[in-house]
Amino acid sequence: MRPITPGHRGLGLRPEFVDTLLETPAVDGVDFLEIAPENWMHVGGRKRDQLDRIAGRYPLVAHGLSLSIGDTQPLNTPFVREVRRFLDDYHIDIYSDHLSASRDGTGYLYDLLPIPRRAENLDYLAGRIRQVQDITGRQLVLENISAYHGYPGEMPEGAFLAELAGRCGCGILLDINNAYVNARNRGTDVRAFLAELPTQALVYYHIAGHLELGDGMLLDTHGTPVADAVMRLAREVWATHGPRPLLLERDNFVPALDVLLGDLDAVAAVLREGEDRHVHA
Amino acid sequence: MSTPDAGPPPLMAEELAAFCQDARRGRVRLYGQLLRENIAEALRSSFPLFVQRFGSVALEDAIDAFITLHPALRPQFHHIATEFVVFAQRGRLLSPRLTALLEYEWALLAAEIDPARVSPEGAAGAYIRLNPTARLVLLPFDPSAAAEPGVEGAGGDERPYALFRTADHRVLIQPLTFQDCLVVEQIRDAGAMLPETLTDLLVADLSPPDLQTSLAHGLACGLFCVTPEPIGEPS
Repeated sequence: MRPITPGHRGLGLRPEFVDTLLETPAVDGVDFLEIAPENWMHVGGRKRDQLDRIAGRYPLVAHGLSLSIGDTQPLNTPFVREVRRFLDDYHIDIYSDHLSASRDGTGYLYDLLPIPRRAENLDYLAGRIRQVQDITGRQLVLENISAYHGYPGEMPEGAFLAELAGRCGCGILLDINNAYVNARNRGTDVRAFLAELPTQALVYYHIAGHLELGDGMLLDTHGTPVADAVMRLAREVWATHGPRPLLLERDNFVPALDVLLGDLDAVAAVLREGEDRHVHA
Repeated sequence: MSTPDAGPPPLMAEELAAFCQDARRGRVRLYGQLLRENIAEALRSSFPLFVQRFGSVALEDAIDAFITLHPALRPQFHHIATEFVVFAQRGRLLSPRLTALLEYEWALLAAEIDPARVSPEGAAGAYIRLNPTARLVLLPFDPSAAAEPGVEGAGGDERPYALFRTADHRVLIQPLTFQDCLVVEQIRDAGAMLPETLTDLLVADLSPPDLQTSLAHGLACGLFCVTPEPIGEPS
């Protein structure tokens, strides 16, 4: 299977275009696909058949939704072991999830909730991340989520991620749209956030569209093309931290595959300018 | 192997618990909405007939109660459907017929994604087994008319059906006769058996021609599979 390298472009695998992907041996412009392991584990039938065929044609990256690394309940180790088996079965090297919580003392909430980013929480989180990395036999890569709630006295997000990566060796999945959305909603400096991120810990990038509400608040919806401002930010990321595999997320109002490929081409064209700047810097 | 050095810092646990509770109860408006939309979307996609029959206000109330009260144990988003069925059963939230409709759609979904492999038609083997994705259900309505209005309120006796996925991934619903039920139960309990053994076991209840008819029909539609092994094939 082809390796996933910096500059490679990918899409999140969606049921809307699985069949189109399977019509040809490999679609030009798609270097890899991202899947949520939870949506495929212990699933048979047509879906499993599709995944098996997709896995024979494209390298896969796993992007989880349910790890809940930041909650305060005991780590769900049976679940993490199942993830390990799935990653092994499909020869998936990159396993990412979100720096968030999805569970409380009652149970799972099925969403990504922000956790308090305080220095005194770092050791606890680093310990849980190490546990996951031990079980999966892989680096855990964590994404900066879009968050619409904050806690008093938090560290800046970039500094928190950098400190966490330094303590436990986790990787960072930089979601460029989330960084933009958070900075706009919080009134913070997105460039300061980017500058705090440790380049060597960045494993891959996400980019997506968002929705602007009437009051100016931005919602990370994955339901629109990438906004120009986010494209420009992506170019800066590319220039600052260098190329990485880049994944376009589209989970709502999913257009036809050729439209998505057009969006991906547009992003890639903008990023090449950033790459030139990175090379010349 | 790393082990957690200690539990979470008390303030972190306290803040997170409070925030999650606020989100569950809708006191943090945006997160309250997001949680409810996620569940509603999962239910609309998994249980389209149930959602249609239940009504939007009742559904909103049920989702609200689910998020506020239900201790969901399964982390995967596609298990929201299962968690909701458990919640509805425990809470006796629904009328018996709506419960039956919900369980029926759950059984369809479960058969569709069951991880078991189904042997293709024409596979070699002397033993007969039940399709490993089969669910046997009693339904108080005709599933072929489940999409028609009023199914949740119509009268009628419960009748047995088998829901299962075929080797080419179609989900079928097969009405079962009394004779079919006898055959299915024998095969299911044994794991897999030779037709001769089945004939011997059912000799008091079924004539050989009736048994042959039931077996032939089950094999033709995919309810039964053949296997070379006496205790089923590995899934």
